[in-house]
Amino acid sequence: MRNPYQRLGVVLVVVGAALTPVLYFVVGSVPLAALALSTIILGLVSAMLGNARPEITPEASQMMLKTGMENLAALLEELGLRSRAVYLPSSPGNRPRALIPLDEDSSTPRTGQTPPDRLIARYGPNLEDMCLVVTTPGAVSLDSVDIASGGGPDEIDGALNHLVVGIMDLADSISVHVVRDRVTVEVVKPKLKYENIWFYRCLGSPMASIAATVASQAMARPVRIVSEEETKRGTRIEIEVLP
Amino acid sequence: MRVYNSFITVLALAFAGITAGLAAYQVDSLEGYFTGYTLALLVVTTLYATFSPRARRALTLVGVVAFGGFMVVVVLKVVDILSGR
Repeated sequence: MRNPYQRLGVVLVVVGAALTPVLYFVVGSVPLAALALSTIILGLVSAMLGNARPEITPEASQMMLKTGMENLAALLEELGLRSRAVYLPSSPGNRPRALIPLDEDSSTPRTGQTPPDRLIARYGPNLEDMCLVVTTPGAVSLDSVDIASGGGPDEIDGALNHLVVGIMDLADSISVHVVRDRVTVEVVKPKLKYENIWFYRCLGSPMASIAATVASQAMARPVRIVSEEETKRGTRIEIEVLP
Repeated sequence: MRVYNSFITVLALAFAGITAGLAAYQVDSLEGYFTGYTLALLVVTTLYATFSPRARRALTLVGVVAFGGFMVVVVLKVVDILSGR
């Protein structure tokens, strides 16, 4: 038996199927027979949910995520990059990407700019407008959800809940508030927390990366993670929408 | 898999509540309970709108089976009424 949901499902179906006729015909109690019937339905639901679990285990996914993050963190530290990443929406044929300016004082990418298809690229007219172009956890996660480009705040809320709560099960719930050029994302009981490490200071935590990528895609504009702070209920992520 | 746990827990509580409620009203037909369970399953599945497409398809299958059972109950009742039993 592959997972606990399937085991639970089989046990409930077998127990329910055995008890229902006994309780109905021998004991003569309709409510108890109905309760046994309900365990069959619960068992079927549990077994079907077990079948719907991803084939790659969470442990294997975590191993791959950590490997990628540690390699990227090593690169960022070696280059001494301290700028916050700018998340760009996808362009035709390309995933959304994040640009990390090599110089903190250089200009920021503008709306409509397509991410260069290279690791180190120039993104602006000035000589110092050089950046590192990386694919973030948020960019890859968009493969499993369709986001209407320019869909606005409702699209961010719906897509983030579908992705983070429904598909990835990384938090209990998410609410999104948009005021002018600020997007505030409240994540209730997140499983991935912010850590004060180089990688997170630059690109944000994986949760913030997903939120920023979705926000950028839904607003069809570049965005930047401003802050991540712990609250009583979970984490608050502030995202700035760039012009 | 907290969302799966929460779904199964909510469904189990709903089933227990329906059983207790109908038993309190002395409903004495298995069909009545089954109809309640089917409705609860469909409602709770609809409320969990954030499920992945794969999980949603799996639950839809269970819902279809339960709904099929519900339709059998309805057809048997209609036959009973038409035959004057």
